[in-house]
Amino acid sequence: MFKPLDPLLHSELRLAVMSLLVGVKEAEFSFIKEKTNASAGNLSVQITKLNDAGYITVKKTFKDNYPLTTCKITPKGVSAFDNYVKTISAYLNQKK
Amino acid sequence: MQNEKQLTNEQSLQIIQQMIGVAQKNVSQNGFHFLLWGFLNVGAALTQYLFIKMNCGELLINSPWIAMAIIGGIAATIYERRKDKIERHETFTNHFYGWVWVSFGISMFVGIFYANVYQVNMIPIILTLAAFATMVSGAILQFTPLKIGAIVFWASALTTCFFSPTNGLLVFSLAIALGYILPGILLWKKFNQQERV
Repeated sequence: MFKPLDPLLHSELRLAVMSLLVGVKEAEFSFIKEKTNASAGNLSVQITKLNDAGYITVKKTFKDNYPLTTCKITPKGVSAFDNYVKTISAYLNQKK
Repeated sequence: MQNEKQLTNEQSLQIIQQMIGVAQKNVSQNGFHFLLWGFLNVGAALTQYLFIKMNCGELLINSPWIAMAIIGGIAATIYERRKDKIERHETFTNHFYGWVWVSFGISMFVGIFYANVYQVNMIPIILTLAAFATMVSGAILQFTPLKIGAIVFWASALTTCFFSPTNGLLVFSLAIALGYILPGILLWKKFNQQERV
């Protein structure tokens, strides 16, 4: 019996954001936007959902007098991502 | 990219692979600091050697190292500030790499202080500390020339024991050329090749 996939991660943009953040220490909003090709509004909504779930932390500061949003994956986020990858792998192995 | 698009398992895996790869570079450092500090160290060591041979006063003899620290400190700070403005994410590699060299700087300060208090030759101390930081950097960046450079530093640190402190400056210069400047040039080339692709 397979574990159900985490619905929060089983979405194209949220999964992309988590996959990006799992490989870096932290990343700016503009960097995530550029790499995911998402619109600012859509990305902002998905980041808020991940932040509310405790998967990422969002830090709002200023850089050269401009607002700067930086995202960082949390240990809970890493664990959720790890479980998601394991579950996906189990599904794919079953198919083979 | 859409948010609620229904994903197949294969698509999920594809997104994960694609996004993990996007933030990672094979070469994350361009060797700027190795070249900067390499040339400054060689310049300072050879100038000091020349001043000693010319029988200059103690203040003038030590001045190349003070000048090196000031010039290097200012250039490194300007470079890092500019880089910070351009880079919008920090990888774990760069994070650890940065801390290795911060630790090296602090250790070197303590080592020089110790050498001055006890009036011992500081060159083997500097080379040993540089070897440690260069080897760890080589391992982090997976760049063999830096690892070889670290071995050159360790060997040179032992070799300087058989030379006078003045002639040790020549051994030091050669070690820095092989351990910092040469790997720095190779790293610079590799980084720029990657950027062009």
